[in-house]
Amino acid sequence: MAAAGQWLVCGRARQVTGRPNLAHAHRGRRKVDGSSLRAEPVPGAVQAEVTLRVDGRTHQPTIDTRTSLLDALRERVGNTSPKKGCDHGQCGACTVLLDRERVLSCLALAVAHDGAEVRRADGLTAGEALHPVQQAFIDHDAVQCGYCAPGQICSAVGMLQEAKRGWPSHVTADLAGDPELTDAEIAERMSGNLCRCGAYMNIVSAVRSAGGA
Amino acid sequence: MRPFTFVRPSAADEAVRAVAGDPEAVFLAGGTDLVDHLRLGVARLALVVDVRTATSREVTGASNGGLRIGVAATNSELAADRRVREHYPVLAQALLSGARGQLRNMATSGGNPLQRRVPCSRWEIRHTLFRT
Repeated sequence: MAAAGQWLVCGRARQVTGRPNLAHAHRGRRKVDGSSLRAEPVPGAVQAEVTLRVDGRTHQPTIDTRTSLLDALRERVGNTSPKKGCDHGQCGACTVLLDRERVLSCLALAVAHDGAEVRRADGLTAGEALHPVQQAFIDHDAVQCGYCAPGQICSAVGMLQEAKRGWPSHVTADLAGDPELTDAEIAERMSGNLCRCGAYMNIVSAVRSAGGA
Repeated sequence: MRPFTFVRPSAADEAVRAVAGDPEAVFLAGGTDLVDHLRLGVARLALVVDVRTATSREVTGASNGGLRIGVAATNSELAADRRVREHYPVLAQALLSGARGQLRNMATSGGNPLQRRVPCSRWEIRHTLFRT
């Protein structure tokens, strides 16, 4: 049992003196507009030029081959709509539509998707009009803190396409038939997107409504 | 993550030649397993060979009445294939029981058996936390 004033960090007690210094959290904060983030190659790095068509605009950053699609989008294209949650393919916050299919951008190497078309949650709008899924998330209050929302929305758009094509899920009773989009189907198909606020009930309602529209 | 060279050959024999005999070279398809292992330092490679262009994504009927599954067919596509659902429902169920929609859209039939799973999650956690 850790004594008062101590944190248990991976089994080792660490003494905490006074208040934690949070100043570092603001140090080095950078403006994210793409042009200010020309990453200098680190020694030994292998660089490659990739072409990414993001929400209808073409970008050609020169990147380290190790760069994930998520980092390329956030740090080099300069849009932070796809979120970095776990960076291990478990939370779904980084979900984007890659060549129209929903994928996890943290597990995709940017260099492996040269020439790909990427659509992010904020690029789903048609001019001023919101995408039906975006509108449904607002109408059903399917957002609390909002961190997972871009991933949830991209995932819902991809998932509704998959259901429309008749793709089955783990809970589809009749694999040979066409699945019906029940709440159980929606929950299973959206299970790759975690929401730590617990807005799941309203997310299911929003997706159900957008799916019926 | 150690720096690596990335190539995407257009023919399968080129891809095989690039990887054969080089312990620091590996095939990449969906990357769901490999990219995470590269990031964790579990896999340390010098050459990554993307085989999605060099291989097929199609699922076609084989002459013996079975199915011929392209290496680059994704788990989603394979599970959704009508012939798999009707004649090989256990395969479809197995694919749909694994991972989540976004991962199944990336993971491939060829990458699946090539996964270098670490022996246990405890070992993976040790690697992640302590880099030992």
